[in-house]
Amino acid sequence: MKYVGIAMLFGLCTLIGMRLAAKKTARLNTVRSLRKDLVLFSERIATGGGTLAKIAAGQNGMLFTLLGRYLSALSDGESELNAAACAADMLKKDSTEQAGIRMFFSGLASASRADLIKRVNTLSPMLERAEGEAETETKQARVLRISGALVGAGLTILLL
Amino acid sequence: MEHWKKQWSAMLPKNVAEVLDRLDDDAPLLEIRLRRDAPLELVFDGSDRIVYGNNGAPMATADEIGSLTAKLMEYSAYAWENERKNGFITVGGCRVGLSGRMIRTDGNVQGFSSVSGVCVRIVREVKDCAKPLVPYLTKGGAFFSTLLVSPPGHGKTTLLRDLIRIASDGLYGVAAGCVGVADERFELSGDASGAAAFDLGMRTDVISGISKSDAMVRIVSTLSPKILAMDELNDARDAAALLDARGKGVTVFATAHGASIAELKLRAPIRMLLRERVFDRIAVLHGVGACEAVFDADGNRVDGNRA
Repeated sequence: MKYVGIAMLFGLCTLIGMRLAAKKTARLNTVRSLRKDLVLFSERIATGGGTLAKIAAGQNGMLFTLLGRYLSALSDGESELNAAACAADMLKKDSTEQAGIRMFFSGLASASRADLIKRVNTLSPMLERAEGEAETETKQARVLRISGALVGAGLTILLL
Repeated sequence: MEHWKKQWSAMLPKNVAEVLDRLDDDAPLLEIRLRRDAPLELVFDGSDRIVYGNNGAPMATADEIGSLTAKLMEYSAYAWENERKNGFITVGGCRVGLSGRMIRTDGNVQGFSSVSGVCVRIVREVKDCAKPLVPYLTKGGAFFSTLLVSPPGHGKTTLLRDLIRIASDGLYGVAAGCVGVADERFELSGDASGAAAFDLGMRTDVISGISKSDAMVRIVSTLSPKILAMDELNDARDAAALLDARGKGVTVFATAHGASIAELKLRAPIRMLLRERVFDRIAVLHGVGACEAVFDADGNRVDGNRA
């Protein structure tokens, strides 16, 4: 019974490691999607593109989901700052990408085309940095998961 | 085309929408004027009405005007940059004039730093409103080059839109033909996407979003129109483009602000066009959609039977 308990404990550690790794991978995917979408967004702005709602329509990327959230908050009567915060709240708390997105969306609705391009140019390096952080975290989480699994399995065998 | 009441009730602040809801559907509303810290002004054909909020309060604060402007621009100010530099935006075919503090950089107007008032001009599509004029503006099934003249708010654009439709579809004995429309502010077509929200006829091509003179040059050179139409003849470039089109055998329809031909002649570009006999017919309007008289290029009245 004792050994079964120990095995379950280590199994749980492994699962927690896996869950952590999955979270980190999700962050990495989000940041990569944001970077990819930002390129698409800037292309649309440069070629006319129509309104923000038209740009967001029919796109699946994370940036466009956030843009949809931002526009929806504005339609609900939120101020531009609050709407930006609503969009940023969909990202990891206190992360580089969250700070970048909050800055990007603050006042986006009343920004000029030149200002939009400036915003893209400011957000791009922030997302690049966030991607670096997310990659490092993901690697660490993978090591943790593998180590946890190995140690857990080894100790379980030893104790049995 | 959506009814103005439905269209604007959804856009304007709730207290203004409530006032609009109380109006009759067929009220001759021409303009809705909303100013910061001021009552609402509703301009009707021949009168206007001032509406205060509860206990004499203003109908809109600075924040409300800001929110309204953002909403009208669909929260995409950058998409309206060129229009805002000219002091207006176009929403669903209605021109919304803006007032407030404008900014200038390096001698160029950049747009508004803050908007303090909006003036919504209600647009109506009145099919067949130009039908009574067709006999005076055509000969042998072909339209004459025509200038529609009236002070602002007298239905020139509505009349022009219907003339375009009649010419394009070939109605009331008129031979159908391609019509090119230079629609800088989306007021004739009613839609910023390039497609027409108003019925401009089946043979109509629209170039919108660029200056009228640029659009006219492109229409004549690439779309081979039988008729070229433009709203609000203003400056020498517009006049030059119209003269050029006439020189290439294209019939032209245009509108101009003015109460009479004598007033028109005070404006150099139009004086030049009249001297060059660009317009075979000049229709002077005196009320919403009501034509006072039609003149030929020599200033002789040609609608004697009407009066």
